[in-house]
Amino acid sequence: MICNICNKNQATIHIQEVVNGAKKSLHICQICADAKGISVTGLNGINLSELFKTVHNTIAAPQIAQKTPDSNITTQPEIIVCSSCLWDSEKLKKTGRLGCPQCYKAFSGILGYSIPSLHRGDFHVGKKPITSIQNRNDAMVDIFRLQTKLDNLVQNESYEEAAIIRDKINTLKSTIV
Amino acid sequence: MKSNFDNTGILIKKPVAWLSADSTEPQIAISSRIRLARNIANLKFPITSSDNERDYILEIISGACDKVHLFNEKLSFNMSQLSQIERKFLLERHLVSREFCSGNKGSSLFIDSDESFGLMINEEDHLRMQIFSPGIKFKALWENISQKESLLNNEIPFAFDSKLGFLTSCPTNIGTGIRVSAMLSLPALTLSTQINQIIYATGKLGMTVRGLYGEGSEALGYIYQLSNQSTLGENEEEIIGRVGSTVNRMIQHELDARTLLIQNRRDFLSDFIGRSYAIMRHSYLITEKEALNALSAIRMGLDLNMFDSLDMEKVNALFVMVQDAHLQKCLRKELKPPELDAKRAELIRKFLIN
Ligand SMILES: [Zn+2]
Ligand SMILES: [Zn+2]
Repeated sequence: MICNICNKNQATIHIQEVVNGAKKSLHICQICADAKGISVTGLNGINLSELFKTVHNTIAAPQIAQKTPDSNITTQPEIIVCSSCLWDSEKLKKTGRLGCPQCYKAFSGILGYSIPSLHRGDFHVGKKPITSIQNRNDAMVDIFRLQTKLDNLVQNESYEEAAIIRDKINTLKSTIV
Repeated sequence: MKSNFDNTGILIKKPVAWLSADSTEPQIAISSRIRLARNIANLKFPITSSDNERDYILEIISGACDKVHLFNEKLSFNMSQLSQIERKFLLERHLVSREFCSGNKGSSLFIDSDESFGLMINEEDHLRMQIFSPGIKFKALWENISQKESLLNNEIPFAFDSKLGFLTSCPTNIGTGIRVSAMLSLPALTLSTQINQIIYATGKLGMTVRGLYGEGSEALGYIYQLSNQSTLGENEEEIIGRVGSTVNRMIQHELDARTLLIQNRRDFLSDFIGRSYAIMRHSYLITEKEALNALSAIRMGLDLNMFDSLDMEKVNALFVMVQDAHLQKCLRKELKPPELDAKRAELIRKFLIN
């Protein structure tokens, strides 16, 4: 797989994003990853959707073409990253845990092998959830995202902005009670 | 809301919910438990969430519990604010898991005051519901916990995939998210060294056997926890049925082993139980492990009518009280061995004389 950013080097980091059920993939080489500040151990602080946008715009542009023959990067183990929670395949292998519900899609390649051996089948039978409260979930997701933003602002000591976000959270919370 | 400290204080005055002597049968199957793992749809699991994010999860679940009146009388415990002894105390009562005892921010335990039902919030998953009963009552427990799960689901959308079922942080729990387990006292199988074969055989049936305190613990007091390994591909009733029949088989094995011991090695068995009683009556230093093992032998002696002046209720109460955290909570003092072992021996001697 060739890197989506430089279209030159072999990609070693693979990020998958699932938007409305459609899977989008992003493949990056180590050099571009370093340039964008993406590390193997985590992607914290990187705006993934921005990254996706830039890369997909570049790909959409006409100058895709020309695959330059291999550079002399040493091959590294391939790493898959979940775009929703930034958990990666290395952490999955180390802990045996997933980071969020969307991880099941992002790591389906790896899990596809292990799930049948862990269980007595690969298809759920049994109790199903009530599905009529979807709108409330949207509000929860919004508040959770703001909470994440608030964490970052406090960490960067941007207290004024943090106060605005905190107010927003409180308003949103009062609407879902 | 009452403080954490008060709440552990309330519990210590009461017998645990899972250990009861209201049966005349041999006390092999001590208790049953069903656990359901659930996560809130589209939110990150606790492992990737920040402190504030976990606090928000707690807020959602806590609010939903109150709104649907999930508890008769709710007691709550904020794990990050409890002392190490208090966390161990909850573990000894089988209300929390070992992992939960690390006391991460946002980790809270809610229980009904009779300790028959509880929620661990921000454990490995957002939500772990547990229900307990003495003896083996899987069907009733399932009906009860399923009803409670539906109640909460009216307020909280759960992470679910039509193929993989309920989604959990560990892929070993996906699908039904159910763990059905029985606590079994198996002294005769342990004494006759058949237990390892049996553990191996139940593994082949898709069952896991663990020690007294669950995952990663050793078999103290000849007590084992049997539970289903897989959660996907079978429905809840099928899983319960399989665990139930395996439990029955293990009870039969234990009874057979007891019969064989009585037939072929009666003196050995009586001597073993009698010495265990002597240790309890006359020790001045006794470790937790030694005490739990001796009490388990005495429980078997009671099943065999070896003691007139002892009853199962008293022995069961001791079984809980001799554990490290219960003992220290009871003495209101932090102690280390050998003082702790001396105090334990003293408590047991006094208890058995009266
Ligand atoms: Zn590149
Ligand atoms: Zn994820």
